Amino acid sequence: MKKSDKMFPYLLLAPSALVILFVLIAPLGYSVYCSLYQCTYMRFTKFVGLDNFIKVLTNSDYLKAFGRTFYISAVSLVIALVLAVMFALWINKYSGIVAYAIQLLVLIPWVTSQVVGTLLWKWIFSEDLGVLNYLVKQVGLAPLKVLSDPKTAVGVLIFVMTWRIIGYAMVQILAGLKSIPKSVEEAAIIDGAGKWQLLRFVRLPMIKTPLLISTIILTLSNINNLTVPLSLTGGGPGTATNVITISVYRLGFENYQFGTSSALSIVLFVVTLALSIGYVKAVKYEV
Amino acid sequence: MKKLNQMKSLKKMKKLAAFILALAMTVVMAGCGGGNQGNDDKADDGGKKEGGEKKELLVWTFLNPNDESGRGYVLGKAKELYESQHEGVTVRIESLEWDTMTAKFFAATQTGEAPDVIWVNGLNLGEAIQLGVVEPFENLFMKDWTDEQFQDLDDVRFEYGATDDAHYQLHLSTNVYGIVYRADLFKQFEIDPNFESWDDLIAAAQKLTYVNEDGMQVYGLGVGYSEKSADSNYLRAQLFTQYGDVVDENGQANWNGDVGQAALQMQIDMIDKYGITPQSAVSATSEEMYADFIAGKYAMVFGGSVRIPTIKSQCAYDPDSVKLMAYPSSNGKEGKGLAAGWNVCVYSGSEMKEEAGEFIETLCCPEIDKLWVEEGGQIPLLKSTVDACSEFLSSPDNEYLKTAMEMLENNAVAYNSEYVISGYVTDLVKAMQLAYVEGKSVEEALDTTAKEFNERNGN
Amino acid sequence: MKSDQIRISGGVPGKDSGRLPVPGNVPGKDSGQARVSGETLKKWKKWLRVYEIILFAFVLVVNLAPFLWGLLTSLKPVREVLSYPPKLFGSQVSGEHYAEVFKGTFFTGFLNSLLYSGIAIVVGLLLAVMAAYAMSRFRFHGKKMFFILILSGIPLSIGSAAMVVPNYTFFSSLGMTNQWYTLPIIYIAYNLPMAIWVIMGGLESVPVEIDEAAKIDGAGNWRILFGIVVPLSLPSMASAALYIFLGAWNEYVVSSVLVSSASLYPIQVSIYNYMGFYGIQWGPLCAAATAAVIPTLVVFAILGRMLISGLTAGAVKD
Repeated sequence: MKKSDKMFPYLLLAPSALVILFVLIAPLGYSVYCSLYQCTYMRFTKFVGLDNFIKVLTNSDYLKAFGRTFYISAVSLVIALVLAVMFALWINKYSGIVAYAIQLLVLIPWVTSQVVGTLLWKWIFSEDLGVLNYLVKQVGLAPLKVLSDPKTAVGVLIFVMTWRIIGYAMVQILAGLKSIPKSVEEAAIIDGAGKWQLLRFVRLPMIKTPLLISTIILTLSNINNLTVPLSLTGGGPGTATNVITISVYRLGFENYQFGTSSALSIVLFVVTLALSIGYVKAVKYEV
Repeated sequence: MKKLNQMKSLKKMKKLAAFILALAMTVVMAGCGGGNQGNDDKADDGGKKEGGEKKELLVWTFLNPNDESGRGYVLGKAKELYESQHEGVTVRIESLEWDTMTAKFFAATQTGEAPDVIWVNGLNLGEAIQLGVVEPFENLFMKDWTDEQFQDLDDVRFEYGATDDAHYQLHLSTNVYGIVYRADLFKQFEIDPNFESWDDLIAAAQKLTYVNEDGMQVYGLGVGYSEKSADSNYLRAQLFTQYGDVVDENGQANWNGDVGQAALQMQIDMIDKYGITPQSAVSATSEEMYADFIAGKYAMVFGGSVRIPTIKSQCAYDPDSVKLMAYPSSNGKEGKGLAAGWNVCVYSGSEMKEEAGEFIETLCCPEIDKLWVEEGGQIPLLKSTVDACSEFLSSPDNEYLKTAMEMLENNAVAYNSEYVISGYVTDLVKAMQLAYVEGKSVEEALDTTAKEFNERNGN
Repeated sequence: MKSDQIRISGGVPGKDSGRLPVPGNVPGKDSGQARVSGETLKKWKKWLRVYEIILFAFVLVVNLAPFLWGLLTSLKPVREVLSYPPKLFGSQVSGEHYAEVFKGTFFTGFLNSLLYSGIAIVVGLLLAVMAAYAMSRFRFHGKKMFFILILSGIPLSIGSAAMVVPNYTFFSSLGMTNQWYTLPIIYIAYNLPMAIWVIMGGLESVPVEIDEAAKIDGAGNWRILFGIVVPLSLPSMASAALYIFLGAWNEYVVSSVLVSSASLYPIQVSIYNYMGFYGIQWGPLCAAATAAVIPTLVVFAILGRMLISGLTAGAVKD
């Protein structure tokens, strides 16, 4: 009896652990294996040890791309989270079908095909033929430079990435807010808590888990996002929006250098894993 | 205290990482072992199939054989014809995403899952030949071919990757590059499309840069410089016109010389000096360039013949006004453009090479070639098809096909395929990005990308 | 945003379920300032309300702009799709693109994806609830390691596109590509780490006392899990199911490489069909993408309701 009790948690975890090990970790192991070779066209021609990693980590283009990736992802994340909390608090005041419909609508960007959504934005932003500049011209202003200017292109990329993730964060946070028992909020109000205090000392702590989950998911989702930057700007103009996933993509699908591309994607994985662990530690999430 | 904890957790993490990696490696090793077994199994399966029921010929393409019209439809017809002539063989056509297909094919040749027949992009044929994954047709169906048969098929397309005694591919969906233009606007501005030189073209483009009755700014000459999906441009046109290729005789990039520098400078001037190309071209993909052409934003674009049917079917202006012309000549050399396309090849590791070869033979038999032309809107493969389709080709709707055929004969070049050239299209537009957006000098921009190209492809 | 709020609440919501996470002495000085005269406050509130609604309407329009533009495009006749100046509506509402989409591979992809996500949800939830239960209720050797394993699965699945070719080679050498089970397994694995985590969060708001009481009553481990804990953690399971569904429904890159038979392709691949080598067909592309969103909204409408109402009703008892 006792022994079976001891084994019980392992029994519970075994299937999940096997699935994760087999489908996620083992291919990673295979990528590690590729990264140690000169592996053009998936042919293991020469064992090169850590050369691929050295090559990747000493290449200033890739380092800059990492920098850009973090900057763009972080800005987009912060904007998304702040707005998501604001909107969640706002919708939380309402109930019934309207609030529910709004939630559904807000979630649409997250569930629409990423590439189609991005291409539609690109179409709307098209400098000569897009709806945006058409409206701008109708108002009598000079058409805007959108994606052909390096500075605004970064802004637009951040905008589209934020647009995509905000609904997800909002729905998560809203679910968290709704799960706060009315009695707790009422008690706080009776204790004389103002709006801000209610938010800061009651609500925010209570939605820590959804916030943490959204933060991790959206951070990783932003950093690993290939579709949006590739379809929206293709890394341009110049190198303004050349994020790291575009480099990985080019190394693999255009140049077929899978050794180097594996090395780069492993570096990317290690960084994102470190970030996730960092988040978990920062909020002292306990297991 | 805190530090100690940190150390402890760091140690734990290390242990953990080591464990995970070790575990992963075990699984991988098991996987690799299993992989080899997998290959053997597959071989066994093949054997069984031969003994038992029908053999299956696997084809990887990006066309969809279930389409009700167009190229996919023709492929479906070819399958029917082949199966009716080869009892005991069924053709299984899998349509893949075209942009990941080649990478997948290269990987699949390692794992025993590669198909018998594969569509290889013109850009990658050199690699495929060097890797030895495609079989010369001379070992297969072409060993029995007569001289007439060879001559019927022989043109610049057939030379892709060919040596004296080995042909590796059948060239489908030929795309002849040139200038796609709007004849109605040319007429409106009384411009003769028979340009003597690029100067003429630029002068015409300046006239054609105007604001039309809908209030739309029309530009004379459109192009897309985004690295996302780049295609043709002035620089590439000049390389083909002057050199006939993008690499020199040693396989090194040829665009960082005088020709390349002058061409890149001209691309910049087209935006800044002549104003015939909008600045937004730096963020436009070739796809958007075509969409903009359909919308009426351009009078001319750097385009390919293969896109003309789509343009005609989607434009709001008169579809018959969409026409194609060859690049003007420069420095006394006639303008040359690429004849790109997809190369249908036999996988050299296939167990059904003979059958695969015969399927390719079916794809270029007179009956199917006629369909390629009339249903697929494709330039005939066989010279004999031209007569068979004369009625179709002489209709005004298909004038572009005739132009493309003439251009194929007089103005087209093929890649030499002796060298690996993958990624060069992106390198060319990257040079434009570096020079125009990042403010590098023309020389530096071209040198940078040429160096990257040479290092990467190691020719 | 982080450190101080954590000190106050002391953990994940619900962990200390009975206790109020409200600090005992909420400083009252700010609330005094807020209490201006009732009259102005009312006016303020009214204006704020209008302002709020306008702002939100604006946000909603921006949020939906591409979707709406796609929807409108999908209804325009083919020659008006790209024409300039841009118009909201074509000269007539045209169903041609939808007709084309439904004639093509869309329906197969739709059914496949429905099946794949169904399997992924059922199996994924089963595995996830077991794992989450173990993680949140038991102390055992190597627990941290399992947590890291789960955590490392998240970036691996989200970043899977970067490693797709090595992944393909790996699965292909095992003969696991292009099978009916390929994509369900992939979808289960890709969404499992997150599902475990979401359910772990949910389980924490199910008081431990309940399992303990059941144990005293003599219920076995499995019975406690499936008979008592699972029904109480339905909201978080709904949330996890939603996550799995969206993940399975929207995944594209890996699916398109790991399978190659038209009969096995998921819905996203049938959307991509309209961005072929010969160009983008905007009309059918927008029609397919719009039609593909509908099931996700239906699923959200079902699961989302459960998610929120469930969380409110069942969570923390006081």
